[in-house]
Amino acid sequence: MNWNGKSILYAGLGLILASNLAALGGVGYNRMGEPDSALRLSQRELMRPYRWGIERESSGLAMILQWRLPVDEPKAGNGFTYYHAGGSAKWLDHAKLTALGFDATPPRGADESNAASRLLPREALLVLEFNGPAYQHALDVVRDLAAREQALQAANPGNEEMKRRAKMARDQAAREENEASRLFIIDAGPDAARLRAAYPDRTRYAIVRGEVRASWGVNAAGQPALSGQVDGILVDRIHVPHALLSGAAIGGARERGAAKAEPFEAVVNFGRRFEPWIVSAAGL
Amino acid sequence: MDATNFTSRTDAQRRADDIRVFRGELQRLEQDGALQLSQPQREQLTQYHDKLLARLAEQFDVDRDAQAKQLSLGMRIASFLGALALGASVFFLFYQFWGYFGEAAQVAILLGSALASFAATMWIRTKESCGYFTKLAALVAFACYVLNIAMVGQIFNITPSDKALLPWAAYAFLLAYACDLRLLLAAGILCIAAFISARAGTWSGMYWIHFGERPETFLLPALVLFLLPQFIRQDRFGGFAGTYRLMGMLLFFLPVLVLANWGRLSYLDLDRQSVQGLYQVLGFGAAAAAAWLGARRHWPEVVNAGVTFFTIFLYTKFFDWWWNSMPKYLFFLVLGLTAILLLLVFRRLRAAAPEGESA
Repeated sequence: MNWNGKSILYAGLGLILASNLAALGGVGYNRMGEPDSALRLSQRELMRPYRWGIERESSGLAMILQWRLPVDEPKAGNGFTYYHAGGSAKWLDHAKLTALGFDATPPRGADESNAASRLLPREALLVLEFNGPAYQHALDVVRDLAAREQALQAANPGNEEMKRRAKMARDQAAREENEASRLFIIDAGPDAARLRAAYPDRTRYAIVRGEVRASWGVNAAGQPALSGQVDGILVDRIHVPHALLSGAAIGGARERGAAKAEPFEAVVNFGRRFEPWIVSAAGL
Repeated sequence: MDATNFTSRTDAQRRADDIRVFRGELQRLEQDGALQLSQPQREQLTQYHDKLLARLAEQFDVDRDAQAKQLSLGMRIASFLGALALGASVFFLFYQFWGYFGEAAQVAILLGSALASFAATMWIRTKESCGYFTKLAALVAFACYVLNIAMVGQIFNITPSDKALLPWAAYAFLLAYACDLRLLLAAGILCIAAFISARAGTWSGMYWIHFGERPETFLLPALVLFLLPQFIRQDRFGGFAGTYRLMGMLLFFLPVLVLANWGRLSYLDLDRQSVQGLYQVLGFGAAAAAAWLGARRHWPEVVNAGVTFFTIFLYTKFFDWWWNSMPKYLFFLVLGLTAILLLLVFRRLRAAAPEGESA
């Protein structure tokens, strides 16, 4: 086929328009009708990224979703994770990982080199719980730890180590009550309808796309078993609409490690494709 | 005399170079007394070549002499650097001011930039076919389009997808063929290879962004790219066939090199040592075969790539065998002697090779 100048021009313009229409069409579909979920998040769950490098040049703003995984064992002297990071979770067990599509064929012997042992991360639907039982449990754990450390200090007056641990536990409890994110990833699955049926409250539970990793270990019975960890949420940076940027509320969101943030509350919708967008924001 | 027999600028430039070399050799022959043209013959020959060079310069903007050739190289470098700078400028311009506009305006600006830069490229192309300004404009247009799609994704929090690689590849190919630009051809090839690799990975359930962790997904696209010029002629586009072959070889040998050293990354259900051994043998064999094929078919890029990767595979094996056990001076002496041996081998091959035209 011999292309002349006009054909090339129409092909190029058509390609640009078609690809933009496809992208915007997807956005429209995601935001069509009622959102799949709508969470009222605060400065504890939405954080501004560090302004360094190219970020310094940007006049736009994207907030990072701060999510956590449930913690079972209280660790004296250790803080909980306040900023999102990957990690393992008890609920991400062998059965769950198999349901997510990971190959359940155990590796041959102790050699980690064969294909069965080398599992690559998979995409999965994750359930985000906001200010629910997982957060309540985290609160109970740190309060209980603070109470025990306080009792130990009271029983050992003058012991500097006990005093230090009691203070650390108190600070930890205060951070958990006032600063830590209340957003936890509590479940995963391949089927959105099933997950929504299990977690019907759309103001507390959001379904999002994420990445899950699995590796082989041994279970309590000494048998080979898969254990998993959540690598991240695929869209964890949410662009702040221009109309909300000028507001003091979300516009003053703190950076990581900086002084206390101005409190705000933002409504974040999650659509049909589980992609988020910020609908509104107001100072508290 | 007919300049329209030339299908590409490369062909035209080759003819202009031949004329320049011929003139130089004719002068030396006359000085040595080996050949003497009569005055009418000399005038007729000079007139013929001058007219042909003028037509070639008008139609294909060829370099008529060595000085023009050097200037052309400078212009190519300036064109490339200018495109990089302008592309970066467009990106940072948008990045700095996008926060002051609503989403509708942001999309309009992004879309408008992509459309305008493409239209401008096509307009410049009509004024200066396959010239330096056209190439610069094409690179800027590609940068604007990539920015367009990427930023729309950021503005509306679209889930990252390998599908974005498809329109980027299509656009790069369109601009490459329209403006005779090998750099964009390479960009298009990389995009399509990455897309195929990512898609192949998702079929096994992997999240697409980890496609680099299974290098074998590049091997089949690499082979297809290498063979493509045999089935779809690229004569009208100077250097495109060589670009396909070279990119095909890079996309084949780099994964093989990785797997020859990190067998864990393979799909094959074998132990690591077996995988590494298998890919080392494949690497050596394929590199040698590529050098042989390239010499036979007069494809210099294939010969060079084959020899380079053969040497890399050899040196990595030397490293595995001797780096820890041998004194360092001796290790590097062995590398040097190996290089000398390869030189001797290639000199003998060059002396034995018959002359012929490039395929």
